[in-house]
Amino acid sequence: MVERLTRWLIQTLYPAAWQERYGQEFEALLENVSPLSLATVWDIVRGGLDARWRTEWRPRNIRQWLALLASSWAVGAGGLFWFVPTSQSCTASTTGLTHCVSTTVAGSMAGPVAASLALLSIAFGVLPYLARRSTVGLWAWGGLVLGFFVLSFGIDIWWLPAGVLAVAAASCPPRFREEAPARAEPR
Amino acid sequence: MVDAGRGIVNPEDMGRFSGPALLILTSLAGEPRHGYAIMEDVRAVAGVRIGPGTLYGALARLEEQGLIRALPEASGRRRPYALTASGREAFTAYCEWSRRLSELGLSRLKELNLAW
Repeated sequence: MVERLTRWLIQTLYPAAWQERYGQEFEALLENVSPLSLATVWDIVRGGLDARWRTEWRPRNIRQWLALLASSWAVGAGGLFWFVPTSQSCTASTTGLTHCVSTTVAGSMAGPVAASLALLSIAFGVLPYLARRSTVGLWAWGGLVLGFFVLSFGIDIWWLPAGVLAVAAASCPPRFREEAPARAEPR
Repeated sequence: MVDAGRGIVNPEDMGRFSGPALLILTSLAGEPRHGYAIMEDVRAVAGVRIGPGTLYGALARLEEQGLIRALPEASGRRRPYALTASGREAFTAYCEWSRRLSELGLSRLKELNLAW
């Protein structure tokens, strides 16, 4: 069970180039350290993420760094969005004191918030990555940015749409069109 | 990593896996070893257990930096690693720097203990 999980982790987490270079000897090593403990499995996961970061995910230029920073910002802003007061209702009591209650999106919709936050985080983290690699990913990323931008206009948080635009500008490299495979001309 | 003219070593250049990298270099300073042999040697010599992911992350970095190289497979799927010439030079310089620092620290601690 653990061995199968480990094999799956290696094939999923580690980059193809890494697997080609170190895969066989890594598996040979794991045969020696079995049975694998949870700590070892966690170490393998960390190693895979580190290999991905070092060979694929680490930004190579200013634009990619901007995309990473802007995406991180968007996740944070998206999270804050749910907890910024959107309205305030005040009631005067019989003693003359005014009691005000602020309403936040999270306060009024506590249930779906956790799921929405998770989805938002995944979307802002994963879609820019997919947008660099496929047309479908680019469209999905564009739709998310546009939808979030339009939604944000209804709420008095000026920095949210501005940030989303920053993410859009930073995350969609102009080189994408050049990198996309050219369609064959109809004969 | 090493300024050949002045013999200056920057330990930060050992990278994020500085601890495991140093342990691996120490292990390979003895003789060429494959991954599992390095793990066992480090555990025996330093009492530290390096996980497989950490080990191969450090090995890949050291290989990229040109400090170690993979030797042709001796048997089966195991591939031994050995220090390169620049790896030997860099690790020698690091060990000497580390020894000077340790000796200085110990002598100062001795003075401090005498003062108390």
